[in-house]
Order: sequence, then structure tokens, then C-alpha cells
Amino acid sequence: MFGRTRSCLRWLGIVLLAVCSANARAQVPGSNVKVINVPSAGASSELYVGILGEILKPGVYRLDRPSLTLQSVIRRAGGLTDDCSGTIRIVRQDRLVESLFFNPQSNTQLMAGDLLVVESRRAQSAISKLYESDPNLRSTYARAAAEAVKSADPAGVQVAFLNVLDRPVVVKVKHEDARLSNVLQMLDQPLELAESVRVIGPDRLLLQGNATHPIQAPLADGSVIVFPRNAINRKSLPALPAPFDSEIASGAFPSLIGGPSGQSAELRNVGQLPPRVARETLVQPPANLDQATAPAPTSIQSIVPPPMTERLEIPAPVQTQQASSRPPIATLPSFKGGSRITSSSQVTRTTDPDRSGEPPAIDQMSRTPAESGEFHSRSSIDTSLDSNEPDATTVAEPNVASHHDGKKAPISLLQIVSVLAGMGLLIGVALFTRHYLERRAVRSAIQNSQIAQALPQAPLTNEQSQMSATKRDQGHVESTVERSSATLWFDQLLGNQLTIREEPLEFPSQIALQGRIVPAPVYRLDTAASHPPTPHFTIRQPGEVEQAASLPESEPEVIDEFEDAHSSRPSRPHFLRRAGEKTVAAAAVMASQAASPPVVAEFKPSSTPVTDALRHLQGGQP
Amino acid sequence: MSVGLDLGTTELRSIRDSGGDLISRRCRASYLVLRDTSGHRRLLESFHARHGTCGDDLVVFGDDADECGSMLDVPAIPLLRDGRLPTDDPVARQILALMVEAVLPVNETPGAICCMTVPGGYGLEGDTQSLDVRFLKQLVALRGYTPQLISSGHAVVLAELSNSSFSGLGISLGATNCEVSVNHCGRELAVFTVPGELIDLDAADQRGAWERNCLRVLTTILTEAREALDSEGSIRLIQHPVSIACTGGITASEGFARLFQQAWHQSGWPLQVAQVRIATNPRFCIARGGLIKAILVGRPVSERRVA
Repeated sequence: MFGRTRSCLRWLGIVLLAVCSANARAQVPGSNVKVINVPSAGASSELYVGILGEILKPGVYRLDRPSLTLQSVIRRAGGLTDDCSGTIRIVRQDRLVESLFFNPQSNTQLMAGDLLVVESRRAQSAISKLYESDPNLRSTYARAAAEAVKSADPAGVQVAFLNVLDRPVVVKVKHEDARLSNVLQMLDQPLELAESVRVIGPDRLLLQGNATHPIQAPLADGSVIVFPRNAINRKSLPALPAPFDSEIASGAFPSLIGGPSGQSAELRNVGQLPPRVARETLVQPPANLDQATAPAPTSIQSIVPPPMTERLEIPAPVQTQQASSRPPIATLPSFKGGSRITSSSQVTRTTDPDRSGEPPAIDQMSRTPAESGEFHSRSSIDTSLDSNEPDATTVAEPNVASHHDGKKAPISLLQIVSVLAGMGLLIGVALFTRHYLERRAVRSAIQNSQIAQALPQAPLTNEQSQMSATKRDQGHVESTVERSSATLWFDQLLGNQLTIREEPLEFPSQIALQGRIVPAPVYRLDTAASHPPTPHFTIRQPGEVEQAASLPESEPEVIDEFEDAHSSRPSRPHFLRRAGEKTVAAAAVMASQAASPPVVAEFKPSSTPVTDALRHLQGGQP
Repeated sequence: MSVGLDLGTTELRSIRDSGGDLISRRCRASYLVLRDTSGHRRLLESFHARHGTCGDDLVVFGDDADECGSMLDVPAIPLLRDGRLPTDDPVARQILALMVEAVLPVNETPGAICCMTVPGGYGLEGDTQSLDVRFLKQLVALRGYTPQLISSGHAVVLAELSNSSFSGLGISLGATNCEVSVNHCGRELAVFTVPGELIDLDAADQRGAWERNCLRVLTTILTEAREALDSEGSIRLIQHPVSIACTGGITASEGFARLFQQAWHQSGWPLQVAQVRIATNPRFCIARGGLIKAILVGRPVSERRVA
């Protein structure tokens, strides 16, 4: 039983180690070095930063790199208003990364694509009061958002879009259109996209993060709608406001704080999305992306939604084209009449006498409450309807709020607890695995003690000694010594304190290279063209330095002259003589001279008649 | 067994661990062609010069090529002309393969990593998959190693800037290319390659001429690197004050630190300098950085973070 458990734990540890090492390998600098290839000088990209909220001129600004700071952006946007709370939230790369209190003196660096949300004092206080009164998050959200909407400017609600274009987009929508479903319709995007859209609310208490925003819940002023990347069909986008590229806003205040309320002072700079119905009536989707990114036409401001009775009058061909370009969400089957679209919560159908000439059958619309042809879209959602009905000509507004409210609730406490428990379990397993692997490494190190002995052992510092003393009871002393010695060796390697020994190279013998030598081989630099050939050696008699130049230059003559002069032996070119040969020869001569003692010649006097006579007189032999 | 391999334009070097000291091998990247005569054969045999045959010629390679060339007044042929392996010279490729085999010992440990630099740098777009790089990596792989390419500037940072947490600028002043690498905590953020200019120390007769030449080259390199990194926005990734490490042949000359300081001020880098570290052993600095990289990559994750 115990062995099986150990085996299971071992396999679990191996799997976790593999996963962790795979993750770490992607993060460790050595394994996957990402090199920024520097292009040629002069290539620069456009930098955009969006700002909305309590700012004088909200919008998107095109900046250069030196001015990519928070203070510079606020200065270009005309400064903060009196109603700002001083807190600025920075949304970067689709998430809220920082919330800071604005300081005009500091220089906060921004990045391209950042979105700045200047919080409002009024909305914040209203939301805080609501939360104090009702701590239930789920039921409070709608009220809080509604309160935030009420506290905002009555002219409209500022909303920012991310991942719609290659830059942030800041627009203003009307209160009645400040809902996610309406925004998606304005952008001419399918409503299914709402499930993957994240909304970062103006207050951290509001719904944000990964939770799904109710599609019919009101969007508070300053909300940031984060679309998933590459999910937007840009060809069907309406004309969105162009970014500002002016240096300093014309109405900028000398001080960065203290201007009039941005909600009431300057809102015309923010591009305003056309009202949904009006755009459906008048604005055709741009043909390409260039039209979508073009500046918003000024006439869009003058498009005022007509009264309800007038809005019902929509020509049938326009509506047909609109329905064909929009993905089918909920359509009515076998409807052959004309269509009239009302506001977001109401869809009106009328019969088209030109096409059918008869009213729709009541049994086909059994779920519609109104028999007069006018019904609410809430009741028009029918799961039995065929969305791919080819005869569908009318697009009904789906009220998905009830659908989403029933299934897509905010994160419950149980989910949070379960996630935390899962994380804790994973951390525990990881720690246990690490502990197990360390003990296993210790055992292997003890078994293979030769490796530990081969490593230089480092003198332990006080802390290491204390640590090792603590762990000695736990059986970790071997691993500590091994690790410290390896660390010391690596430190010496980093500090260039290790001796580098050079090893001779070994080439294989009898190398035969194949091919033709491309560079023409230069065998010898011919420097003797202007000079007669000279030997590699000269002979200089002692005291005859001047005569050396006039000596014969051919080698046989030189050798003959040398032998006649019984001088020293001629010197050979040094490359024809082995190294050490001269030394050996000299040593041999000296040894031979030392072995044979000097012979003393016997004196032999000269023999002349006079000397012989003298020698005879002296009694000697002649 | 981890190995750091520096394939330079003028010399091939390797460093590996021997359980205590470091063992290095190096070889000059040049060869010499002599006519195949009995005299030349005797000459080379008496010198114990490493040579081979190619048709009717004798080919001497390595350090012996330079020595014999200087003695016989025959110029040695560089193996990597302008830092590139000549595509139309099959003999040069064979000699390079022989040299790599000689410099790199056979690995018998599976999974050993060899961090290598290539001549001419690889920072330019598409050079990582160029024919030269693939050929050199294949040579290393044939010796039993897993080749991993690093830039020479990154190797300089790993070798010299350990006291700065491997953060700063690594400048490698090679014979044919100079690399400026921006590193933060051992991770290479940007690399810029400047086609270098060979400063021949022996060619300058006067000291003043050499200094002017060296200062001009350094200023050009630093200015081009600053402009390129500034246009890309990589300069703001560098933390103040920055540590700089330099290596290369000219760093061994006297007065290089003063010249580098002048060139740094003239090039207008908007950075404060904490230290300028000149490599104490410029010959094996890059190879040692490659060895450090190979050891770090081959370690387990926990030990890597500790290191």
C-alpha cells in the first residue's frame, strides 16, 4: 500500500515537474531569448493614447514618443475638470494595470495604446453610498450602474472600445443606448460577441474582470468595453472618431487641474456614435477599413432620431439589405411582410401588401402577445424559431438580458472558494513534489559521493553554517555542502577567477581535402626580381668586416673559401637544422675534450754541431 | 558537459569545465597553401606543422599557417572572409569543419548544450537561419552537442556584468562586426549589429594616428547603435545608471577606457554610466559567457533562479 502510494506520488511529481519546467523554460532568459531586431533608423509607428472621463477634451490623441507621459496627455486634453476625483486608472493591454492619484509634478510614463479613465467624484460617491446600503453585489450592480449613469452628463455617456481598431476608441452614446446590446448593434457586430466582451467599469466595485457584463445592463459613464482580439468585423464598422494630433488643446488651462466639468464643457470633441436606429436608416456600412477609420462626419451630429412614429417608416429595401448583412440572431419564420424596426426593446412588424397582401398568420406567431402586428422583442425570442429561415426579412431585437441574467451570473462565492481551494491544492502538491525531489537528489548525491568530492568545497559563511546546522537534523547537510560548493564554483566562473588552461589541438593525420582552392595560391612573394639571388648565410672573417661584402656569392665557392680559410663551419639555414642539434654538438665536443686529458709533447732539443760540442763538454750524450 | 564556443572571424575558441579549472582550445581561422614538393614536406614535418593535401598543393591550417606564412613570405588565407563563410570555397568549409572538430571535444553526455556565437553576428533579420549559421550549428551538432545561438554582446554581459545582475550594455568589438546588446537581468532585450572596421594596430605607425582611428570607429559604432535603439524605443528599457562591458581585440590596448569614455560622450547616449568594465581576458571572454549561458540553460529551474 505504501509502495503504491509512493509510486503514485512519484509519477505525479514527475508530471508536475515536467509542466513546471516547460513553463519555466519559456520564461527563463536563456532558453528562449527574444531578440528585438532593430529595423533601419527612421521607422517609427504611430502612438495613440485614449482618455475619457472627467477631462476637458476626451478622445484619442496621437502622440510622439517624448510626449508619451500622463501629464502630457492630460495637458493635450485640456486638463482635468473640477469634478474629477483625482484618480486615474490606466487600462493597458486589455486590463486595468494601474490606478493612481494624479500628481502634476511627477512624470508618469505611458505606453502606446494605453487608455486613461479619469474618475468622477460624483459617480464615485453615489456608487459608494449604494454599496454601503446594499452589500449584495449582484442586485446592486444594476442600481449602481444606473446611478452612475444618472450622475453622468445628461448629454451622453462616455464609453471606450478596445481592440476595435488598432488604437483605442472613445465615443459618446446616449443614455438610452448605453447598453452593451445597443453598442454591438451600433458597431454592427453580432450579439453573440457579448459573451466574450469584458466591461471594465468606472469603479472597481462595479463588475469588471472576466465576469460577463449583462447585455441589457446600463453602461456607466467611463466604462471600457474590451472586445476579444481579432473578433471584430472591421468591414462593417461605422465611421469612428479620428484621433487628435494637435499639439496642445486650444482650450487648455495653464493648470492641469481645475477646469470646468468635462461633461458639460467640452464634449463635442468626442466622436458620438450615431443613434442606432438612425444609423440603421441612413448610414451604410463602410466598404473597407479605411472608411471605418476615417474621421466621423460632422453631419452625424445632426442625425437626430425621429420620433417613434416617424422611425417606424423605414423603406423595405433598406431593411432587407440590413437584414441580409447582419448575422441571423432571431428571425421570424415565414414572414412575408415589410418590416419596421423600433427602439431596442421593441420590434414592430407590419405587413407588406406589395409582397403578400395578407396579414401574417396568427398561429405562426403564437408566442407574440399582440395580434395587431406589434409586439415586444422580449417575447419575440423563441427558441423554436429557425434562425436560418431563408424568408426572414426582419431582424428582431433579442433581449438577451433575461437569458444572460439567468445563466451568466457574476462569480459566486462558491466559485471563488473552489478556485482558491484548487490553487491551494496545486501549490501544496508542488511543494510536496519539490520536497520529495530534493530528498531524492540528496539520496542520489550520497550514493554518488565521488561527484561531491570532486567538487571544491566552499567555506561556509555564518548564515550558511547556521542554516546547515538547522538542516542537519533534517538530513540536508549533504545537499547543502554540494549546493554551496557548486555555487562557489559558479561564482568563481562569473568572477573570472578560474584558471584557464589551454589544451593543444589534435588534428587527424593524412588529411586529404577535396576540391579546388578558389583563391589563387600565392606560393612566394617574389622579391628577388630586382636583386640578385643571395645565400641565406654570409661568412665574415674576424677583422674582415669590410671584405665580407666582396666575398664570392656562390655556395661552392663560399664553401671552398671556407675550407681554405680553416675557419668555423658555415651556417645552414635555420629551417634545415633541427632545434637543439647545435647544443648537442657543442656539448659532445666539450665532453670529448673533458674525457681525453691534454697530451704534453716531449721536449726535443735542436741538433747542431755547436750544440753537440757543448753538450759533449758538459758530459752529456750528443 | 557544457561548452562555450566562440567562432570568431580570426580565431575559433572553446571553453569547457573540467571539474575545477577551465580548459580552453583555440585555433586561428586561416590556412596556407604551399606547392607539394619534397622540400616543403620536409619543412612541414620538421616543424610538426599540421597540414593536409589538396591535389598538388599542401594546405597548412591553424596557427602553423601563420607561422609558416610569415617565415616563407607567403600570405595566409583567412578562412572567414568578412565574417562570412565563402560559398564558393569548398576547401574552406572542409578546413572549418576540421577546426571545429579540433576545437570542440566529442561529447558523450546526452543533452549537453553548446552556446555558440557565429562570426558576423546574427542580429540582422534572417541571419539566424542563414546558410552559414545552419552549417555551423550542424557542425556542432555532429560533435554531440545541442547548439544554442547567442549574440556576442549577450555573452559579454554574462561574462562580465555578474555584479550588475546581468543588466546593462554588452559591446563586442570584433574584427568584422561589432555588436551592442541591451540586457536586463540576463535577458536580451535588443541587439544591434554594426559592421565593424578592423583596426590594425600594427599598421598605425604613430600612436596618435591609432588613437584617432580608434576614437572615430568607437564614436561611429556607439552613435549608430544609439540612433537605432532610440528609434525602436529600446533605450527606455535600460535602467539608470547603466553598466557597460566591452571586449574585443582593441580593448587590450592601452588607453582604451579613456577613448571609450570620449566616444560615449560624443555619441550622445542619454544614459548615466555606472561602470565601464573592460574584459580582463578578452580572448576568452565571449567563450566564457557562452559557457555561463550553457550552464544556466542546462541547470534545473530552481538552481537557475538562485544563480
